[in-house]
Amino acid sequence: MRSAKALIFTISGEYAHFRKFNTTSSPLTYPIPTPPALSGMLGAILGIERELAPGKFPDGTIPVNEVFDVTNACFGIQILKPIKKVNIGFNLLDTDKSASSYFNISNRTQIEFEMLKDVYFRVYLFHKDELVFNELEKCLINKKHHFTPYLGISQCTANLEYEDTIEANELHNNPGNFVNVITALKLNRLYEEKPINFDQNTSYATETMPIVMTRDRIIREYSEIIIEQNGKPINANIRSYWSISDFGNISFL
Amino acid sequence: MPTIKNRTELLFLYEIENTNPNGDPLNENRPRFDSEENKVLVSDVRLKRTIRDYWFEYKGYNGENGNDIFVRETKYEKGGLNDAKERAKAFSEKKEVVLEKCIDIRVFGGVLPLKNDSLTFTGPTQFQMGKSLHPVEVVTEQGTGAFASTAGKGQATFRTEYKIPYAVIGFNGIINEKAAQYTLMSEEDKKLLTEGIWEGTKNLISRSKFGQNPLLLLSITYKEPFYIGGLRQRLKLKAIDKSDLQIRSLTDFSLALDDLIDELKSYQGKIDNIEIKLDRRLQLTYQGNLLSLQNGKVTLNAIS
Repeated sequence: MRSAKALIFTISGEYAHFRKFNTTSSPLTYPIPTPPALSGMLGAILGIERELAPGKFPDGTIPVNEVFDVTNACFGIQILKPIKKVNIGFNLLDTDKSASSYFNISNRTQIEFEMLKDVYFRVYLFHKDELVFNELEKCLINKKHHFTPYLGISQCTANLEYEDTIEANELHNNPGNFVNVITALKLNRLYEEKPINFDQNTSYATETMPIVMTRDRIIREYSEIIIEQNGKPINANIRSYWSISDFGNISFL
Repeated sequence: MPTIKNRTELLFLYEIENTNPNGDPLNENRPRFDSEENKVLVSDVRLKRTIRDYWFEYKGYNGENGNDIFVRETKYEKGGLNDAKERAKAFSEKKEVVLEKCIDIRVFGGVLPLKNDSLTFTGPTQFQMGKSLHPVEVVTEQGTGAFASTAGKGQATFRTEYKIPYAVIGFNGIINEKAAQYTLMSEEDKKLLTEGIWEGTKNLISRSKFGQNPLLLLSITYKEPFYIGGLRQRLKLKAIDKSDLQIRSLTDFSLALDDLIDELKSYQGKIDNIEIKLDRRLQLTYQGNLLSLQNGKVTLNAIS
């Protein structure tokens, strides 16, 4: 049995937008933050600088994607408030024509954004590097954020609340045995034969989400994720999961 | 000029009367509206435009004396596109020059697609979407235009307008001193920002924005990189002898600051100073008592 320390905190805000990779001019949003988005948010708290251009970082900066790489870190995401989506039209600057159009705006372009409303998530984070883990814990407890964390786009500033640091234990599960899991689930962590015991009274959704992103913004892994839109647990035939006392059974993306 | 040193959190309230605070371009310019809560919304860029317009019109950030606004409207320009090229040249397509001249890039950030120097600056100042503190309704107004549709016709055209009879709208804002090191936002810029929020809201002379009036601007400067977050959500607006939809003026409601003041008290050690600007007609309460004004200042004895 493996065990590890989980850093538990909540993220909330009035609006959020985690853009789907396949939407450009009419941006749709994922229902939950993707691991690369969470890495960026935590990087902002720690004060890790963003890239100057794709793949180009200021001297001495380790890109967030590498600090929170899958070999170092795992994210579990629990939905605490039902997923609500609203469409908001924004009047953006039309900068299509040439760089000089920035210097004198004559055209506007109206883009409808799909936004999440009243988001509230709980994040479970494992991190191999104790220094990073402890530093993050300290920042979250004291609400000491280096840059302002936001939910996908910069005007959607985020509220982060530290909750707990608890030892979690990994448990293996047998095929045919169903376990209640409170986080979003990666479908490839489930047994293939009858993976989920669907409840007629709940509302499920699946999404294909980027899971691993390199420093050059290239996605190395996309996965299918299933969520319960109201935040109820999913009764799943899962290969293994982590049990956290007082919280429940979680699985990582 | 040295960049700002402390994190600052802003709460800004203003009232609107019979206006459209922010039209939705994809919905016939109806006011932005949250139909779940029946509250009116104002985008963050609307507030930023208000501030930019104020800097441009009243503070000399009009391209002269090395002070400029980067995100400019054509309406300011006389010659059209030629000017755009000249402006681009005036910045010599260098980020240092843009940052030195353009207050809006220093304060709000921006994406600069310069020829030899493309950069993305996350703005030190971030505003969330603004929202009314109470449910409102949208009224539709028909009016006659002054112009006929074609020359020689006897009748003028009709127009439809959508308005909000009355609303108190609140914005949350954060100024991040770390991001300010990249965009070189200074204390002076911060002063111009708060001035722009207040005076700019007052000075909007567009027909659809006439009737805007700033009510409260709370600026909390912290000693540490910390902020409370969600200040607007801590306010409670209580209608006096009316329903929320019937509120039409400052005498129709009071604003309970209990949650806000309690939160400020609990983080007292982290706060360096609090500045407050206020319309003295606003009725603020704490623990059921009206907060009093002395010499035009709220006595925050209730807080300390």
